[in-house]
Amino acid sequence: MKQYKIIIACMLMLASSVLYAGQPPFSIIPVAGSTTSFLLPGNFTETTSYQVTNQTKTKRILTMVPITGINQVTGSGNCANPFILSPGQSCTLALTINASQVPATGINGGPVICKTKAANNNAPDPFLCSQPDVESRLAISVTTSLVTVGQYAYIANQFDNTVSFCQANPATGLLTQCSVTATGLSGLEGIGFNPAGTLFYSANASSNSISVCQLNQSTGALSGCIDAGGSGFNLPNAIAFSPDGTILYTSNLGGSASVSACLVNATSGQLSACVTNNSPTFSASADMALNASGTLAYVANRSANTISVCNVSAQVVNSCNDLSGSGFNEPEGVTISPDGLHAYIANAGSKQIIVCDILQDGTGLLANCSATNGAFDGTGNVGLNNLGTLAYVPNQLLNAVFVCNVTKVNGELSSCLPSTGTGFVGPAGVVLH
Amino acid sequence: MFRPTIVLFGFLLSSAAFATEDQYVVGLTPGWDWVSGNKTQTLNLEPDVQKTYTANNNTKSFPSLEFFLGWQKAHLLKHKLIGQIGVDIAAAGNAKLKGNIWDEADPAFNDFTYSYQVQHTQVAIKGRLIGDCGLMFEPYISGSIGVGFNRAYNFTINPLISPAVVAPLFHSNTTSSFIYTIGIGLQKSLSQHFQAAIGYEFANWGKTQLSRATGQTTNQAPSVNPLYAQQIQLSLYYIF
Repeated sequence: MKQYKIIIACMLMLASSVLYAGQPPFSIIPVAGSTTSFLLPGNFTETTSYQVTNQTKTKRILTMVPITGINQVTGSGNCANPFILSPGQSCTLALTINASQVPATGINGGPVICKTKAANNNAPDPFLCSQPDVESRLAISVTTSLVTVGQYAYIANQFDNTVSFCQANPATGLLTQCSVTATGLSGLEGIGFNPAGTLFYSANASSNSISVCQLNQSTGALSGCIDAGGSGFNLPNAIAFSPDGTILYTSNLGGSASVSACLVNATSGQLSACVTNNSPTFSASADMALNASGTLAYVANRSANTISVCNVSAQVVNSCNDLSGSGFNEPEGVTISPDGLHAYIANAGSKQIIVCDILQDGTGLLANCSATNGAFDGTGNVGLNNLGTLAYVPNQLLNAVFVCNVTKVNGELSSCLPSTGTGFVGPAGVVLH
Repeated sequence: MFRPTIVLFGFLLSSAAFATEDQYVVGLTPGWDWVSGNKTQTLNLEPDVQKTYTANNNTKSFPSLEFFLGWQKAHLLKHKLIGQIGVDIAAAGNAKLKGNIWDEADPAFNDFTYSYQVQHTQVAIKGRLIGDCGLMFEPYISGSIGVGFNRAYNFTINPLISPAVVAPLFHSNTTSSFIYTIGIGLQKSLSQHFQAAIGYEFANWGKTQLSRATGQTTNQAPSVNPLYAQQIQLSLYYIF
């Protein structure tokens, strides 16, 4: 008798669960690793994908309800448009989000998958549709503020002689949509743009040359990389410009260590009339940077564990002082914050980032240096966004770039995380543009 | 149910026809109603889209009001009965019909609840036969036939799970049909002109049906035929 009661109770529980455990006709679940919530600058694109499964007992022709600003990507094993799913069958719904086309109100919801209206009508039939769970629906906002414009991060892949570029999301700091945009370079480490933002330069340490590439202003892609000319380079590893863009400076690690200063053709970007500047303070000069006014140069002396602060006047770099700052251990990279108040020195020896104050007394010397966060390893330099709020730290050991928050008051880096950018091979120099 | 009503109504009419003393009577009857009759139904909203609408008959009660104007004939059947016949106009509040929706007519996709309201009005010929035995409370029976108007409206759907997407809603629709009522109760004479009664009435309100949704290519929508109502009534009559 007791057994019967248990069986009846179980059957009632089963019946009630069947009756009340609703499920959608079509399950729509984000593919592992896919993000469905974005805060995007208007010039960015993103991708996301869902797995769609037909949970009904009927073979269905399905389609997505159109969403302004979102395009379905077909092919490569993705769901077609429309797509046919037998009972229990799945496919991957791949979507591209084009922030420039997203309405100002953003996208809140979807994707909604419906059966098509008829065999000869592929419009979605609203009488049988499903959507993802609330927490998995698309939630896309677009920033329109100029201060949060989306920048691209360019990463010098020193070990495969290429340049990667990624979207650097100003809201999250994460790097997404990374791809190789320039190839055929040579042991590059120092990279940068001319002040006009029209040309990209790469210091090729392995070929003792500098390359210049064209920049697509709308997509951020590089193209047409050629030798920029110039002469006298010896393991060049930096790209710095005078504020007017007429002079390019690079530090030379090889030989007796020096700084080259070349004239820049305003139209072609080609270099000429290079001048070699020497200083007794230079020692395996591994990187350099100029202050915003172009009057001071900061040169990292890897062998001497110092930073030379030199006066700059046109192509002349002299009167160097290597006594300011401390804590350097095989300094590899020098980056000046956009506000000119702090210098970030990446150290190959200690694998630390040292942040120093830049004295605002006209000398520009370094003071109050201390180690801050940032998983630096190898060669290269820290990259900063235009606001100076995010720092990107390359790590050649892990083939990764970390992103850190910047406390602008003291320049400290904190909350460093993997940037999620992919495809880096020996990342060295990082520049945001 | 239809045949006994006709018989009862005919008896009431014939009783009144043989009466000898005429008086006018006007009555007002507030009531408290509840409906039944909603049944689980499977509909093809599109040629290849089928949904089941289950019925939840746990409906709430709602108020109604009835106005009666007619004639009263006393001293029927050897002074044992009083007959009344007249026009009855009634309106009921909002009956709420509800249940669940199964996508694909499959209980595995029990993904929504639905509800809609029915507003009922009717015009009928009503007869009442009241005992005249000198009791404190005289028994009565009543019956009516007429035409009813059922307005189905305010159809809503609520998802039970977040991935469920609500389909286009059915539109409002008014349906007219034959209706009848039968009732029993007790009546007490309060004075020479006033009488009060308490009773129970069963009504067939006829058919109610929603109209198809926007974009729907088939002509199927939830319906109830017939919709039954039961009513507790408190009546006050003035005889003159």
